[in-house]
Amino acid sequence: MTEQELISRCQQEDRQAQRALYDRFAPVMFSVCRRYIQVYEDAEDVLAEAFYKVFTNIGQYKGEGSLEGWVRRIVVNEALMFLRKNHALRHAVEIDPRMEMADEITVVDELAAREILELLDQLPTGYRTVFNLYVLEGFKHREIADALNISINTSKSQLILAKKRLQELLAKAGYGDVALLSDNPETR
Amino acid sequence: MTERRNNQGKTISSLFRENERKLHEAPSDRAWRQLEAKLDQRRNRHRVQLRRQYALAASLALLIGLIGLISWLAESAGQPAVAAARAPQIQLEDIPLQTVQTEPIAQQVAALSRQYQTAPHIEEGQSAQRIVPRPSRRPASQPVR
Repeated sequence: MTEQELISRCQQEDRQAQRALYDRFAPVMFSVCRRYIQVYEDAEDVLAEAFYKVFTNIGQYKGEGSLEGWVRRIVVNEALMFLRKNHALRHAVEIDPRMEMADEITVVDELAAREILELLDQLPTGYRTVFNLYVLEGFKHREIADALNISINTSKSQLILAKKRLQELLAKAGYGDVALLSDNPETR
Repeated sequence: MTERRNNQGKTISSLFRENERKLHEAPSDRAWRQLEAKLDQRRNRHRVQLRRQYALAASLALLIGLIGLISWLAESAGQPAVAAARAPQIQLEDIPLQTVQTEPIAQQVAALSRQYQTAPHIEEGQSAQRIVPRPSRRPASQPVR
């Protein structure tokens, strides 16, 4: 079944097509949910809610951009909604984003999935959310500020602190030398 | 952001970016069951709404049909039943009788009255008498025309 056929059948609420689309994207989207949300069951709830929105709004997908990208945006939004409801994202520490950033060259090349999740889970919710949005989703600080209802400076601060914390955690986990090099502050 | 990289390793950002695909993992069946339950609920809700809409449309059509039928029956029976049913309550009021005497009749009555007044008096006879035609004054030889 082509993607176009799949979309068309999903618009007609064909359950088999819905299942096929879910099976195609669920592993990727669930990893997105897991990066934002620590509790496995909560991540599943968010995934189910996000796919429900995908199926009830699939008529709005006009084929501009990839379907996966469109689904991913819905999943990220749903995860952010969950975090806004359950975590105080606005109560974040703000530092001077012009400060020199000790970052971030590491000799580590590979991380196992479990290690990635463990590292991310050890970050405070605000750090983890901004790190995910900036580094893994490619958001700009202005977009993060809008999405989380925080200032741009707070977003920059959270990212710097997230990276610092990750660096410390990697060193603590015994990932060899972590070279602390100065880097330019985030400018995106 | 300025990504910096050397031969010894990679940045934290790229480390996570490049290893992120390892997180891909199918969720448990619970997630699909939860999603399917919500989709079923929505489908049932739609069906109920659709049924309600059909029922409403059918009721309206029936009502319009009934009104049409009643009107048609009332018209064919010569009794505007609907109009009569909607008419306000009324009571009967006596209308004073008016006799209109037309002039020719009055004149006739007056003429007759004059005629009777000028007519010769008929004397009432005795029980042993009878009324007979008066003999004519014309000569007997002259025939009556």
